[in-house]
Amino acid sequence: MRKKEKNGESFIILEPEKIKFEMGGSGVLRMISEGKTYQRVYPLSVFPITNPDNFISIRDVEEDEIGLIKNLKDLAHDQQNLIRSQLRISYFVPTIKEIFKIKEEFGIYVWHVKTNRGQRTFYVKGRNENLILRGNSRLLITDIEECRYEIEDFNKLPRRSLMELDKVL
Amino acid sequence: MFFNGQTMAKLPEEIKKFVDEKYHGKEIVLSIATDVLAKGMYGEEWLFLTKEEVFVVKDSDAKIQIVIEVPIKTITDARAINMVGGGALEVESEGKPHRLLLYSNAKAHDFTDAARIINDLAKKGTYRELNAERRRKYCPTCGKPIPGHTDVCPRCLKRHRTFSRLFEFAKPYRTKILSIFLIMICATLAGLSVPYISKILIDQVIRPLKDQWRLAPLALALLGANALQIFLRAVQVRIAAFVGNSAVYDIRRTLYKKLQNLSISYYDKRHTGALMTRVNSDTGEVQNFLVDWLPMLLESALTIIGIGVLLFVLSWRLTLYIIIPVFITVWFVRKVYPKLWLYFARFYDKRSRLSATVNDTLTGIRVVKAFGQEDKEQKRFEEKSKDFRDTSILLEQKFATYNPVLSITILFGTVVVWYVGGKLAFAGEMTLGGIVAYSGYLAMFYRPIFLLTDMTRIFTHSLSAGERIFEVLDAKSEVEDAPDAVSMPDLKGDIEFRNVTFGYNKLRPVLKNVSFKIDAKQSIGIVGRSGSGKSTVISLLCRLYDVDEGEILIDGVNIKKIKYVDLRKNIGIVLQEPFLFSGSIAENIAYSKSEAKMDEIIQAAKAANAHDFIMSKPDGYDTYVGERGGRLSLGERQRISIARALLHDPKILILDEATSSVDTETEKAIQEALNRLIKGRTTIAIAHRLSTLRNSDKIIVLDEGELAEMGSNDELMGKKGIFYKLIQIQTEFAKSRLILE
Repeated sequence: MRKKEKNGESFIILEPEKIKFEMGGSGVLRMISEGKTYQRVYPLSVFPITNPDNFISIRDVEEDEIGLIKNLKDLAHDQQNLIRSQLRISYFVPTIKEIFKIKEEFGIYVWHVKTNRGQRTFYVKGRNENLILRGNSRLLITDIEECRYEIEDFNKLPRRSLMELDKVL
Repeated sequence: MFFNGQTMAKLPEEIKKFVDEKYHGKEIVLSIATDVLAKGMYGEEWLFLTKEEVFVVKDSDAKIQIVIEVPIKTITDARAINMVGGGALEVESEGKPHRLLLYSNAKAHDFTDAARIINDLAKKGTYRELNAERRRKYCPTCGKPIPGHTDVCPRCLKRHRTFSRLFEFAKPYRTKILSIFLIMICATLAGLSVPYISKILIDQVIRPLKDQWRLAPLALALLGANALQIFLRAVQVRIAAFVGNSAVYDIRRTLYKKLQNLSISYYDKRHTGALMTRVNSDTGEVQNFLVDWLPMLLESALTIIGIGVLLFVLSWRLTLYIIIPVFITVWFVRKVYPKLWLYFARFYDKRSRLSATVNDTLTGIRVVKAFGQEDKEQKRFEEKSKDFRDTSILLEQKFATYNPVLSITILFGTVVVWYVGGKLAFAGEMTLGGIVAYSGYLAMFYRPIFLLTDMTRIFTHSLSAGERIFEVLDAKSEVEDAPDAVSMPDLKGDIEFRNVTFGYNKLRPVLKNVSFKIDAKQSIGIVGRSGSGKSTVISLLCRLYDVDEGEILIDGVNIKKIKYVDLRKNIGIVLQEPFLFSGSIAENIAYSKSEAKMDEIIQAAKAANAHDFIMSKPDGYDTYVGERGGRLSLGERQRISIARALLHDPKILILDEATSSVDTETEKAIQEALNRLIKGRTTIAIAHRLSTLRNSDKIIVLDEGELAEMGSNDELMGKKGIFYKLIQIQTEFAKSRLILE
């Protein structure tokens, strides 16, 4: 769905006191702002990798931006949790906790890992074309299905995992 | 019943039973598994669709339950919300939204399709079958992902097939290859005879100090054997060079030809750089393999067998002892080499990253300086440089450690030979000559062994290159004529788009259910905001891509059924960014028709208002235009591409107008040229000029991929809709431009 470009000079800031989030029926987030109810809202981080808590874009189901929340921490705790749990779903990027094995076959690397969302086997094309290093030790991996995974700090991985990772880094 | 091929996971028996029970008698339209549970953890849930309801089933704690069920007729909207790394399937029913399930990107396609089917069922009561032509991502035999962009799974396709295919290319040189083989055997035999001759020399002549007359012939024999080996090797290399290079020449040629025949979408999906590598370095690798490695490997195999036999013959007792040190050496190499190779790979990697950084900064030096970021770039470079330095040091250090260890293991073997051999000599079972010969053979033994242990890596490496080449050669030539293609050399030029839906990315269609008709010789203008699908209409008409749904008809015939050669002959294009080849102006104008006569070229140039500027150049029509036409100005290039189209003389003309970036004089000239070009052809123009629109018979307005308005200029202006608004903006803009000029 193409995003319509609303011609405006600046973005709309949503003031924490003026908005309220609620969990609608069966898992869809709802927002009440200045008397108006938005049945389906979807939050996105503007800087998902470098600054995920600052500037959360709240969008409607047609992908139009309703407004921005400057800092998630300005909201009440339960509100923060609602947004965070939704963000967790919007960004389905499991964190790899352990690498069991990496095997290579015909230029495709098979990764057997354990993530914070469960165990997974995925296929990565090429040795490190699909691995992005951010900062010193944070790794973002894209697999053949365009699913993404991340390793927050590969120095903190167990030793066996590091040995496996060495095969591709 | 169940869609087959759509689900990768198999429906578990218990769930099947549960569903059959609960929804007894209802036809299951769709069943898809997802890989993410509601809380965001990996797991399996199943989506089912009957004609009356959609529901999700999960199997948790050994209890099967329905997570959610929504009656179809209450559904007003169903969509797959694609987020990052995954998404959610949601429906709106009775004003309330419901999230049915979550999925990871792996299932995005499946659930987008599911959403569409749910929508169809809810709104129309029927649904369209899914497009069964979806490219197979997973091999049906082994279930693993198919690495390339072919439909062939390389695992299931046996490895030796690539091998034999490579040899197909070597087939024409059969006799030469046979001769290489024979020469190789002779050379090896010659080489193997050298230590034996020295054994005879020592045992039968020098030690017993007997038969001095035999010294000379034996020494000569030594020389002869060595010389013969060297000579034969040289001959072998010469022939191999010829065979190898010729075979690779054939491969390169075939590859290049194939690349020309591939569809645009093939190129879209890949880096042009990767394809260039295929032609250049992958073929080079295959060449190395055929010319260097393969002969060496064969020779090594022969040598090892030969030496093995001789060692055994010389002294089977010693051979038994020697197995241990040899084994240790080989084991060491097999364990260590792969690791070294990893360090090498990392070394090359870091090196290319470093040069990429340098390339980046130096190419963009203007921006660096304009923003004063020299320090930042310096830091970036230093980091990468340091990284590279560390990797190099590590590599060389590893090398420095392994080599001595390797040498020692080999020395160990020598020690065994002399000690055990000596003892056997004392026991009368071996002679000095025998020991010396043995030593000599052992020295010859190691190199081939190392080569063979490396064999797997060499084979994998080279066969991978071969596979990459065959991947291209095997790619479906989407530009092949269908078997029942119709020949239509003379088109009238009627065009019809019927319910056309298309997206470069299947999940995001750029054109949605677009339908319109154009009669022959009409001129149509297509307008719309950027991204509304205008260029896509043109690409589809040129058949650069094939539609996902619907059809395109020319003179009533589906475009897929018309022979390519006729399509190309009858459709001409003038692009926004005119692409010229590095050649002369004349060559560029005559691109579509190399046998064009000079007066035809001049005529075309005149009609395109290009003749005068061409003549103002010292070399006239023979002027070299530079790479991509870089030596000419934009206005000049545009007119040459118009001349090119005029010469081509197609029945259907596609015009992608440039947003004016030339001065008004040139603009006028170009406009005139275009008017001449359009006469008497069916013209489809992505219009940016008001004059083009005013002259069009019909105007099509696209908005976000859909046909919004269609009619003549006056009709649409009267409607005061999207078209009207666009014109307002355009005129305002034009007015302001005039003031500036």
